[in-house]
Amino acid sequence: MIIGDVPDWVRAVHEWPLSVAVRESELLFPILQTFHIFGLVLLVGVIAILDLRFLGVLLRAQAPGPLARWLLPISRWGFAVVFASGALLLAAQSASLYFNEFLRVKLLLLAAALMNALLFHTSVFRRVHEWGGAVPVPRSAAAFAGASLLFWVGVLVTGRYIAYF
Amino acid sequence: MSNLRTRLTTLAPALLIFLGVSLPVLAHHSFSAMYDAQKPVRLTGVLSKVEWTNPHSYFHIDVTGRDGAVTTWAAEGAGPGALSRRGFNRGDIKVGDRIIVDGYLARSGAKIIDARRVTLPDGRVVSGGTPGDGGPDGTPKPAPAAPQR
Repeated sequence: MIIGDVPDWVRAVHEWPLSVAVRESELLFPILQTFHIFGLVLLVGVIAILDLRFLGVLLRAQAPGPLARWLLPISRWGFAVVFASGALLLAAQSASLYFNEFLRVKLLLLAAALMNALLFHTSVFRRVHEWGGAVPVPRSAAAFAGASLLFWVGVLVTGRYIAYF
Repeated sequence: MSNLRTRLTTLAPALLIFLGVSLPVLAHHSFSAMYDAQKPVRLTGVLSKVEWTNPHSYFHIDVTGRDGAVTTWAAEGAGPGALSRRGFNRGDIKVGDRIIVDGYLARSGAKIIDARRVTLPDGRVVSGGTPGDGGPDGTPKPAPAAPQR
Protein backbone atom coordinates (compact mmCIF):
# COMPACT_ATOMS: atom_id res chain seq x y z
CA MET A 1 0.00 0.00 0.00
CA ILE A 2 1.32 3.43 -0.92
CA ILE A 3 1.44 5.89 1.98
CA GLY A 4 2.82 9.40 1.64
CA ASP A 5 3.88 11.71 -1.12
CA VAL A 6 5.93 9.55 -3.47
CA PRO A 7 7.73 11.27 -6.39
CA ASP A 8 6.23 10.80 -9.86
CA TRP A 9 9.18 8.84 -11.23
CA VAL A 10 8.86 6.30 -8.41
CA ARG A 11 5.15 5.96 -9.14
CA ALA A 12 6.02 5.45 -12.81
CA VAL A 13 8.37 2.59 -11.89
CA HIS A 14 5.66 1.21 -9.59
CA GLU A 15 3.08 1.22 -12.40
CA TRP A 16 5.46 -0.20 -15.02
CA PRO A 17 3.71 -3.32 -16.41
CA LEU A 18 6.48 -5.67 -15.26
CA SER A 19 6.32 -4.19 -11.73
CA VAL A 20 2.56 -4.70 -11.67
CA ALA A 21 2.94 -8.27 -12.97
CA VAL A 22 5.46 -9.16 -10.23
CA ARG A 23 3.43 -7.40 -7.52
CA GLU A 24 0.17 -9.13 -8.43
CA SER A 25 1.62 -12.56 -9.24
CA GLU A 26 0.99 -15.69 -7.25
CA LEU A 27 4.28 -17.39 -8.12
CA LEU A 28 6.69 -14.92 -9.69
CA PHE A 29 7.17 -12.94 -6.48
CA PRO A 30 8.18 -15.89 -4.25
CA ILE A 31 10.29 -17.31 -7.10
CA LEU A 32 12.19 -14.01 -7.34
CA GLN A 33 12.63 -13.99 -3.55
CA THR A 34 14.08 -17.50 -3.77
CA PHE A 35 16.52 -16.48 -6.50
CA HIS A 36 17.46 -13.40 -4.49
CA ILE A 37 18.48 -15.60 -1.55
CA PHE A 38 20.20 -18.14 -3.82
CA GLY A 39 22.24 -15.32 -5.39
CA LEU A 40 23.11 -13.98 -1.93
CA VAL A 41 24.39 -17.42 -0.92
CA LEU A 42 26.78 -17.42 -3.89
CA LEU A 43 27.76 -13.75 -3.58
CA VAL A 44 28.15 -13.25 0.15
CA GLY A 45 29.23 -16.84 0.78
CA VAL A 46 32.21 -16.48 -1.52
CA ILE A 47 33.01 -12.98 -0.28
CA ALA A 48 32.95 -14.17 3.34
CA ILE A 49 35.32 -17.08 2.59
CA LEU A 50 37.78 -14.76 0.83
CA ASP A 51 37.52 -12.04 3.47
CA LEU A 52 38.11 -14.54 6.26
CA ARG A 53 41.14 -15.85 4.35
CA PHE A 54 42.56 -12.31 4.05
CA LEU A 55 41.92 -11.84 7.78
CA GLY A 56 43.83 -15.08 8.45
CA VAL A 57 40.85 -16.86 9.99
CA LEU A 58 40.21 -19.59 7.40
CA LEU A 59 42.23 -21.68 4.92
CA ARG A 60 45.59 -20.35 6.04
CA ALA A 61 47.40 -23.18 4.25
CA GLN A 62 45.93 -22.01 0.91
CA ALA A 63 47.52 -19.20 -1.08
CA PRO A 64 44.89 -16.43 -1.46
CA GLY A 65 45.65 -15.90 -5.18
CA PRO A 66 44.40 -19.26 -6.54
CA LEU A 67 41.57 -19.19 -4.01
CA ALA A 68 40.38 -15.81 -5.32
CA ARG A 69 40.75 -16.95 -8.93
CA TRP A 70 38.52 -19.95 -8.17
CA LEU A 71 35.91 -18.18 -6.13
CA LEU A 72 35.48 -14.72 -7.65
CA PRO A 73 33.68 -15.89 -10.82
CA ILE A 74 31.10 -17.57 -8.55
CA SER A 75 30.54 -14.31 -6.71
CA ARG A 76 30.04 -12.48 -10.02
CA TRP A 77 27.32 -14.95 -11.03
CA GLY A 78 25.83 -14.52 -7.58
CA PHE A 79 25.84 -10.74 -8.01
CA ALA A 80 24.10 -11.01 -11.40
CA VAL A 81 21.34 -13.19 -9.90
CA VAL A 82 20.96 -11.03 -6.80
CA PHE A 83 20.91 -7.78 -8.79
CA ALA A 84 18.37 -8.94 -11.38
CA SER A 85 15.98 -10.47 -8.83
CA GLY A 86 16.43 -7.56 -6.42
CA ALA A 87 15.78 -4.95 -9.11
CA LEU A 88 12.47 -6.62 -10.01
CA LEU A 89 11.40 -7.06 -6.38
CA LEU A 90 12.23 -3.42 -5.69
CA ALA A 91 10.49 -2.15 -8.83
CA ALA A 92 7.36 -4.11 -7.88
CA GLN A 93 7.22 -2.37 -4.49
CA SER A 94 9.01 0.86 -5.32
CA ALA A 95 6.27 3.30 -4.29
CA SER A 96 5.33 1.36 -1.15
CA LEU A 97 8.99 1.07 -0.07
CA TYR A 98 10.00 4.61 -0.98
CA PHE A 99 9.91 5.85 2.63
CA ASN A 100 11.26 2.59 4.10
CA GLU A 101 14.30 3.60 6.13
CA PHE A 102 15.77 0.11 6.22
CA LEU A 103 15.78 0.08 2.42
CA ARG A 104 17.62 3.41 2.37
CA VAL A 105 20.24 2.24 4.87
CA LYS A 106 20.60 -1.04 2.98
CA LEU A 107 21.22 0.78 -0.31
CA LEU A 108 23.84 3.01 1.37
CA LEU A 109 25.58 -0.05 2.86
CA LEU A 110 25.42 -1.78 -0.54
CA ALA A 111 27.05 1.25 -2.16
CA ALA A 112 29.72 1.20 0.57
CA ALA A 113 30.34 -2.54 0.05
CA LEU A 114 30.69 -2.09 -3.73
CA MET A 115 32.94 0.97 -3.33
CA ASN A 116 35.08 -0.96 -0.83
CA ALA A 117 35.40 -3.86 -3.30
CA LEU A 118 36.28 -1.49 -6.14
CA LEU A 119 38.97 0.25 -4.09
CA PHE A 120 40.35 -3.10 -2.87
CA HIS A 121 40.50 -4.68 -6.32
CA THR A 122 42.12 -1.64 -7.94
CA SER A 123 44.78 -1.33 -5.21
CA VAL A 124 46.46 -3.92 -2.94
CA PHE A 125 44.42 -6.83 -4.35
CA ARG A 126 46.39 -6.52 -7.60
CA ARG A 127 49.29 -8.24 -5.78
CA VAL A 128 47.15 -11.12 -4.43
CA HIS A 129 49.19 -13.73 -6.35
CA GLU A 130 52.29 -12.76 -4.32
CA TRP A 131 50.68 -13.51 -0.95
CA GLY A 132 50.79 -16.79 0.94
CA GLY A 133 53.55 -18.99 2.29
CA ALA A 134 56.19 -16.72 3.77
CA VAL A 135 54.56 -13.55 2.44
CA PRO A 136 51.80 -12.37 4.79
CA VAL A 137 48.59 -10.75 3.58
CA PRO A 138 49.16 -6.98 3.93
CA ARG A 139 47.34 -5.23 6.76
CA SER A 140 45.60 -2.96 4.26
CA ALA A 141 44.10 -6.04 2.56
CA ALA A 142 42.91 -7.34 5.93
CA ALA A 143 41.33 -3.93 6.58
CA PHE A 144 39.47 -4.03 3.25
CA ALA A 145 38.35 -7.60 4.09
CA GLY A 146 37.09 -6.59 7.55
CA ALA A 147 35.20 -3.61 6.11
CA SER A 148 33.75 -5.87 3.42
CA LEU A 149 32.42 -8.35 6.00
CA LEU A 150 30.83 -5.57 8.04
CA PHE A 151 29.21 -3.90 5.02
CA TRP A 152 27.82 -7.15 3.59
CA VAL A 153 26.46 -8.35 6.93
CA GLY A 154 24.90 -4.90 7.28
CA VAL A 155 23.30 -5.25 3.84
CA LEU A 156 21.83 -8.64 4.81
CA VAL A 157 20.47 -7.50 8.18
CA THR A 158 18.97 -4.20 6.95
CA GLY A 159 17.66 -6.00 3.85
CA ARG A 160 15.79 -8.48 6.02
CA TYR A 161 14.42 -5.64 8.14
CA ILE A 162 12.78 -3.97 5.11
CA ALA A 163 9.82 -6.29 5.65
CA TYR A 164 9.49 -5.16 9.29
CA PHE A 165 9.45 -1.38 8.84
CA MET B 1 43.42 -27.37 13.28
CA SER B 2 43.80 -26.09 16.84
CA ASN B 3 44.92 -22.83 15.31
CA LEU B 4 41.73 -22.66 13.31
CA ARG B 5 39.79 -23.40 16.47
CA THR B 6 41.37 -20.53 18.38
CA ARG B 7 40.75 -18.22 15.43
CA LEU B 8 37.12 -19.26 15.31
CA THR B 9 36.93 -18.60 19.04
CA THR B 10 38.07 -15.04 18.46
CA LEU B 11 35.41 -14.77 15.77
CA ALA B 12 32.64 -16.03 18.07
CA PRO B 13 31.89 -12.65 19.68
CA ALA B 14 31.39 -11.13 16.23
CA LEU B 15 29.03 -13.97 15.32
CA LEU B 16 27.10 -13.46 18.57
CA ILE B 17 26.68 -9.76 17.82
CA PHE B 18 25.42 -10.66 14.35
CA LEU B 19 22.93 -13.16 15.78
CA GLY B 20 21.89 -10.68 18.43
CA VAL B 21 20.98 -8.24 15.71
CA SER B 22 19.25 -10.73 13.45
CA LEU B 23 17.38 -12.95 15.91
CA PRO B 24 14.86 -10.24 16.81
CA VAL B 25 13.86 -10.27 13.14
CA LEU B 26 13.22 -14.00 13.25
CA ALA B 27 11.32 -13.81 16.52
CA HIS B 28 9.51 -10.63 15.59
CA HIS B 29 6.64 -11.40 13.29
CA SER B 30 4.91 -8.62 11.49
CA PHE B 31 1.56 -9.00 13.27
CA SER B 32 2.61 -7.79 16.70
CA ALA B 33 4.73 -5.01 15.21
CA MET B 34 1.72 -3.40 13.58
CA TYR B 35 -1.45 -4.69 15.20
CA ASP B 36 -2.85 -5.01 18.70
CA ALA B 37 -4.23 -8.49 19.46
CA GLN B 38 -6.16 -6.94 22.38
CA LYS B 39 -8.21 -4.77 20.01
CA PRO B 40 -10.38 -6.96 17.81
CA VAL B 41 -12.71 -5.18 15.43
CA ARG B 42 -15.38 -6.09 12.86
CA LEU B 43 -15.79 -3.86 9.85
CA THR B 44 -18.76 -4.16 7.52
CA GLY B 45 -18.69 -2.04 4.44
CA VAL B 46 -18.47 -1.59 0.73
CA LEU B 47 -15.28 -2.53 -1.07
CA SER B 48 -13.88 0.60 -2.71
CA LYS B 49 -10.51 -0.71 -3.91
CA VAL B 50 -8.65 -4.01 -4.04
CA GLU B 51 -4.87 -4.27 -3.99
CA TRP B 52 -4.27 -7.93 -4.81
CA THR B 53 -0.55 -7.56 -4.20
CA ASN B 54 2.66 -9.07 -2.85
CA PRO B 55 3.84 -9.30 -0.19
CA HIS B 56 0.47 -8.30 1.34
CA SER B 57 -2.96 -7.60 -0.09
CA TYR B 58 -5.12 -4.64 0.91
CA PHE B 59 -8.88 -4.42 0.80
CA HIS B 60 -10.17 -0.86 1.11
CA ILE B 61 -13.61 -0.69 2.64
CA ASP B 62 -15.98 2.27 2.99
CA VAL B 63 -17.59 1.88 6.39
CA THR B 64 -20.64 3.97 7.27
CA GLY B 65 -20.69 4.93 10.94
CA ARG B 66 -23.73 5.34 13.18
CA ASP B 67 -23.63 9.07 12.46
CA GLY B 68 -23.75 8.40 8.74
CA ALA B 69 -20.16 9.48 8.12
CA VAL B 70 -18.24 7.23 5.72
CA THR B 71 -14.70 6.23 6.67
CA THR B 72 -12.39 4.32 4.35
CA TRP B 73 -10.47 1.60 6.11
CA ALA B 74 -7.71 -0.58 4.73
CA ALA B 75 -7.62 -4.27 5.69
CA GLU B 76 -4.26 -5.95 5.25
CA GLY B 77 -4.14 -9.61 4.33
CA ALA B 78 -1.82 -12.24 2.96
CA GLY B 79 -0.36 -12.12 -0.54
CA PRO B 80 -2.06 -13.52 -3.67
CA GLY B 81 -0.42 -16.97 -3.43
CA ALA B 82 -1.44 -17.65 0.17
CA LEU B 83 -4.99 -16.35 -0.37
CA SER B 84 -5.60 -18.42 -3.49
CA ARG B 85 -4.36 -21.57 -1.74
CA ARG B 86 -7.15 -20.97 0.80
CA GLY B 87 -9.69 -20.78 -1.97
CA PHE B 88 -9.91 -16.97 -1.93
CA ASN B 89 -9.32 -15.81 -5.50
CA ARG B 90 -9.15 -12.39 -7.02
CA GLY B 91 -12.41 -12.90 -8.87
CA ASP B 92 -14.27 -13.58 -5.61
CA ILE B 93 -14.50 -9.89 -4.76
CA LYS B 94 -15.01 -6.73 -6.74
CA VAL B 95 -15.38 -3.04 -6.03
CA GLY B 96 -18.88 -2.36 -4.76
CA ASP B 97 -19.25 -5.69 -2.95
CA ARG B 98 -20.35 -5.69 0.65
CA ILE B 99 -17.87 -7.59 2.80
CA ILE B 100 -17.21 -8.17 6.47
CA VAL B 101 -13.68 -8.21 7.81
CA ASP B 102 -12.81 -9.37 11.31
CA GLY B 103 -9.39 -8.23 12.40
CA TYR B 104 -7.36 -6.18 14.80
CA LEU B 105 -6.71 -2.45 15.01
CA ALA B 106 -3.32 -0.98 14.20
CA ARG B 107 -1.17 0.13 17.12
CA SER B 108 -0.52 3.41 15.32
CA GLY B 109 -4.19 4.35 15.32
CA ALA B 110 -4.18 4.50 11.51
CA LYS B 111 -7.31 3.40 9.68
CA ILE B 112 -5.87 -0.01 8.91
CA ILE B 113 -6.70 -3.40 10.36
CA ASP B 114 -5.32 -6.88 10.01
CA ALA B 115 -7.73 -8.87 7.82
CA ARG B 116 -7.84 -12.01 9.97
CA ARG B 117 -11.15 -13.32 8.65
CA VAL B 118 -12.96 -12.16 5.58
CA THR B 119 -16.61 -12.90 4.90
CA LEU B 120 -17.03 -12.91 1.15
CA PRO B 121 -20.14 -11.74 -0.70
CA ASP B 122 -21.11 -15.39 -1.32
CA GLY B 123 -21.10 -16.04 2.44
CA ARG B 124 -17.86 -18.00 2.55
CA VAL B 125 -15.58 -17.13 5.46
CA VAL B 126 -11.87 -17.29 4.65
CA SER B 127 -8.72 -16.70 6.63
CA GLY B 128 -7.13 -13.51 5.30
CA GLY B 129 -4.13 -13.24 7.61
CA THR B 130 -0.46 -13.52 6.75
CA PRO B 131 0.81 -17.08 7.28
CA GLY B 132 3.14 -17.42 10.25
CA ASP B 133 3.00 -13.79 11.34
CA GLY B 134 2.39 -14.77 14.97
CA GLY B 135 -1.05 -13.16 15.11
CA PRO B 136 -4.19 -14.72 16.62
CA ASP B 137 -5.50 -17.78 14.83
CA GLY B 138 -7.64 -16.63 11.94
CA THR B 139 -8.80 -20.05 10.84
CA PRO B 140 -12.48 -19.78 9.99
CA LYS B 141 -14.49 -21.73 12.52
CA PRO B 142 -17.04 -24.22 11.28
CA ALA B 143 -20.39 -22.52 11.05
CA PRO B 144 -22.54 -23.17 14.11
CA ALA B 145 -25.60 -25.27 13.55
CA ALA B 146 -27.51 -22.23 12.47
CA PRO B 147 -31.24 -22.19 11.91
CA GLN B 148 -32.08 -22.96 8.31
CA ARG B 149 -33.01 -19.97 6.26
